[in-house]
Amino acid sequence: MNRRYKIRATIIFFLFATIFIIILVNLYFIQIKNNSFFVSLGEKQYSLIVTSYPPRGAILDRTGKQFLAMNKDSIAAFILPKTLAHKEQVLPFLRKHFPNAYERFKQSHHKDFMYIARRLTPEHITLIEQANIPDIQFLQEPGRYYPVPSAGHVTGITDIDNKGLFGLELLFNQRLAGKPMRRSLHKDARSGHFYFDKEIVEHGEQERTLITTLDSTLQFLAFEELKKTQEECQAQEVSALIMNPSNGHILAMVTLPTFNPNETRNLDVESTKNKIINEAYELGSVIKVFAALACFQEGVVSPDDLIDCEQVKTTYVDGRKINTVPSSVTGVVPFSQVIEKSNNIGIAKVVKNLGNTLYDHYMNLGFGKRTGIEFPSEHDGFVNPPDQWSKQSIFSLSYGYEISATLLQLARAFGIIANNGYRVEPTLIFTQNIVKSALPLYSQQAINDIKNILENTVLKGSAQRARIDGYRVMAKTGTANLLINGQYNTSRNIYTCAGIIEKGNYQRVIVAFVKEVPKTGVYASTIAVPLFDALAKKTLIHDHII
Amino acid sequence: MKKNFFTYAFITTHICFVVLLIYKNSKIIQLTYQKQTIEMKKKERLQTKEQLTQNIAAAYDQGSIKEFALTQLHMVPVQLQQIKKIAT
Repeated sequence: MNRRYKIRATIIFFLFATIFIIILVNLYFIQIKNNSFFVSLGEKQYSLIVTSYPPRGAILDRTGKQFLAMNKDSIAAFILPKTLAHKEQVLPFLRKHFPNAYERFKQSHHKDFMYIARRLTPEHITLIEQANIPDIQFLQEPGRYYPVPSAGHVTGITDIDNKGLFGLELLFNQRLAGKPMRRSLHKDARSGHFYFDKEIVEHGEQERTLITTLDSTLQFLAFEELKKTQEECQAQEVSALIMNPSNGHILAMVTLPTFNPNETRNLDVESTKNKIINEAYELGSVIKVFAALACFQEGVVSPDDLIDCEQVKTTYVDGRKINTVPSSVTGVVPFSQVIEKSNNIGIAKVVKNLGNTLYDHYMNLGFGKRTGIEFPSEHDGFVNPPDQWSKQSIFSLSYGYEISATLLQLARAFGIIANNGYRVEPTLIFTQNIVKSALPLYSQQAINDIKNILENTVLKGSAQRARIDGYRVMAKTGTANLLINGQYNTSRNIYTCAGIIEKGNYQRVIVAFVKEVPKTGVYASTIAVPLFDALAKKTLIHDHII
Repeated sequence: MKKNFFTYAFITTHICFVVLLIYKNSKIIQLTYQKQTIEMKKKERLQTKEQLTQNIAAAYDQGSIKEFALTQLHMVPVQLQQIKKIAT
């Protein structure tokens, strides 16, 4: 009996001893061996790192009051595939209404989280709400709203994660987005919303708003005029630019075809391109203004010098064939009339005396060089350099071929004339800093001569429809053939009218541009000049210049 | 007697300290809770403000204003020639 008792006691002792040893070993592993793991596990339950993103900064027009881009939350729908409670409801619903999500679900059924769709339309939200499936939940996400859709080419848009995709949204993404702040929250292990303490782990940076030089009303008015022109002429592209030459502020920048920045579901990428900044064209006769300016500056010709334009449509100068449009055909006329009538033969005969200097002048005027405007992917433009010239090049360059320029470069060049020879760089961002050349690039005499010619072009030349009584309007037209597969196509043209409107100290540079209309035998004087005129009048009324 | 008094005073003081510490912590928690409740309300108000700002921006849509002026108010676009400056 005593022996049995002893055995039993020993067994019980060893049993308990084993249990204690197991507990001790376990404690060793928990407290010593895996200490850091369990400490961090505990920390995770009590302390939480929260990253908060500042709201994206607004983009405003020059008044600082009208929004061009603002924040608007969008709604996304999601499911938790791993823990779906009503699979039999969710799957048929997805298959019927969100087939893409259904396909994704088949690949992601083991995942913790899956978006059904983001940036839901009100119809989709109603549809999901009516389905009343508890597994499908909504999530509020930051998004953007653009109250002035016509400024979409300038503002650009953000992507689904609210990062700038193009335009100002892309270029100023960092400034608009700010920097997220990271905070550590101390909670009790079961707490949902509330915390005991909050500490900043990483300081963020507040978003900053962006004030542009655009005038939202003028932008709208220009857009309306462009729409009208596009409908009337059935033009493929129409663009307009209104600039204050004294400070380089772009007041309106519109291009058609356009897109709705608030509806980007089926976005045509081509329509999002800002063709005023990102595309260069061979602009034709409008460039004669700058060839003439170069000639005046170099003393090659004066406005009253007589030039023989031979009263023909086609002639040969130094063995090279030169064509001019029928409406410009003239005989022996003063050089000023060569420009007013836009005669290619006359300008070619004069400019050949400039030689390589023409290239230098074009470069000084800012052609072939970016303006440095605050906008992504600005086009350089192109001026054929003298070392690549053929015998035709000097003539082509005189009337706007072998030189491609953006409409912005053209506006800047007209700005030089408006500013009496000083070059002011165009800008889209409202600032008091004006980037202006230290010295005038052209003499006052050369500027006055070209201004008079431009004024006469409106009074009695190719831009007569742009005449506005009581105002000084100086403009030049250009009709250029498009280069298609290496050959100039005479039935596919671009039409430009660019110039300056002036009254007292008030000045505006306006560029009106139309690309390809189905009607044949038309010129800039009938396509682009009426648009220029309408824009000029709208601008004068808007600015109260009466 | 003196010894007992000192012991009681010592214990009472410490109990008071403990009670005050508990009171302080619970007050902090209470105020933190209130602060967070207010923060949540502020967030809601900001969301409402943002919504209203969007509504205002949408109401300023120049296309709709123009259409309203033309169709409802029967206004006509003014031409530059029609405007005259009155000398003041």
